[in-house]
Amino acid sequence: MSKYKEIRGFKIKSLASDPTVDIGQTWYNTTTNTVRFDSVGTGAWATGTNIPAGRQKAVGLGTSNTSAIVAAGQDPGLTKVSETFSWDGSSWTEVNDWNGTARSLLAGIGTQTAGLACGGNSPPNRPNVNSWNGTCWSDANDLETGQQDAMGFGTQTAGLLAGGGAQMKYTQLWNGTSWTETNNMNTNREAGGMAFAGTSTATAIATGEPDLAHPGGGPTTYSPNCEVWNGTSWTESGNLSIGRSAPGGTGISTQFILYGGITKNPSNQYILSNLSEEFDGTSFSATGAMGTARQMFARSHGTGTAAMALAGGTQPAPHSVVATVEEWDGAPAGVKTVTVS
Amino acid sequence: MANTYCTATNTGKGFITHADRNLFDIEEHMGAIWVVENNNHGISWINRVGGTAKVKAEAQAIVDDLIEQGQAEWDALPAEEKAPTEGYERVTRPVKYDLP
Repeated sequence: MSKYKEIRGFKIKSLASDPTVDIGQTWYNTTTNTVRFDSVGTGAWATGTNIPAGRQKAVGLGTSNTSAIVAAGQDPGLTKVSETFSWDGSSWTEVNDWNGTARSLLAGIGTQTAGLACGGNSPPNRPNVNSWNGTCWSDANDLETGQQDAMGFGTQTAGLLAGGGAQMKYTQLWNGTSWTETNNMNTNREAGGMAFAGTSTATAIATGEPDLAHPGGGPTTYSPNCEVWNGTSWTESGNLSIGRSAPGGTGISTQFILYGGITKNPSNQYILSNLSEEFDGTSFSATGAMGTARQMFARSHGTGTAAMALAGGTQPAPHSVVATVEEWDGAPAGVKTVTVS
Repeated sequence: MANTYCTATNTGKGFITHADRNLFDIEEHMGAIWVVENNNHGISWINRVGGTAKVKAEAQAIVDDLIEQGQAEWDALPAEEKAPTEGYERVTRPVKYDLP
């Protein structure tokens, strides 16, 4: 027997203005005469143009999916290299080599034409900073302390470096000339994901492992904790769904995508992840997964709606360094209009 | 969700499009194994990229073989290379797993 709702459908509310909504809620806006709903993000990863050579632990620069730099890091033989590759939105070109100490696990700050490559490991942890002007690299003033696997934010003239393998709460501000210590993170972090803010005084978000100083192995679990930078100090924010190390991250602190990395399963085994999570300024939620699970990306960047995942390491270890690129096209969560035609 | 399996070489741009991702699930595993949602769109994608269809057992065998090779390579490393010499390497002995 047919039921009333199967014949007539469900009623939705008629409202003069969009309400404060929950994801999935639907209503009729009597002012715009449209059906409106609060959507989840519908972003997706697609394959992009691969980098000319496999890289992991490289530095990445760039704030869009049409311009990027990948430099230094390790090649598939795990040799530290000096090549620099530039992306113009349609193809990769090898440009002037890295002229500094060959390093991996660097933090990148800035764009394809004005950036910094900070710290890294050669080994040991290095304080070196190299400045990129769009054509070539030159030396810049060193960090206050050698750092590897730190997280970089901001621009070439107003940058922020946080966490890393030596001083894991340490936060340093770059004013275009030199570094000074500022308010530290609340929790030790290394190998985190990070959102690129406009400058060091804009908001940013960082994730990462709580403590990697474990002789002979990693932690039994990875922390899902995150912190948000408000331009002055760090505060705890909503957690990741899945704690992970060495993910990629892109966007701003109110629309941030974290992807890939390595996790541990209940048997304490390392598992590469292809999962992505989206941060809306308050909390994380799952969004489109990558095609290829990876970690230790060249940390480049983009926005929460247009980004690239660059190269990285896959399985089987230890020599599985890839040139794979995936492009993110994210449709942000929010109120949408139902198109009827 | 039922899956189907193939081998295919990732040729970069256009190999998997954003439109594809909205039509079917797909993920890569070692050995250029692709686990593809078994619907018309997924099957069309395999044909489009010239993928070679595999049954699950064949795909699993390819992955297992590569993991075993990786485990042997890892086991042959000297102890100092297994240790986290470069900070924490996050390069670890591969672990066998079941394809979805």
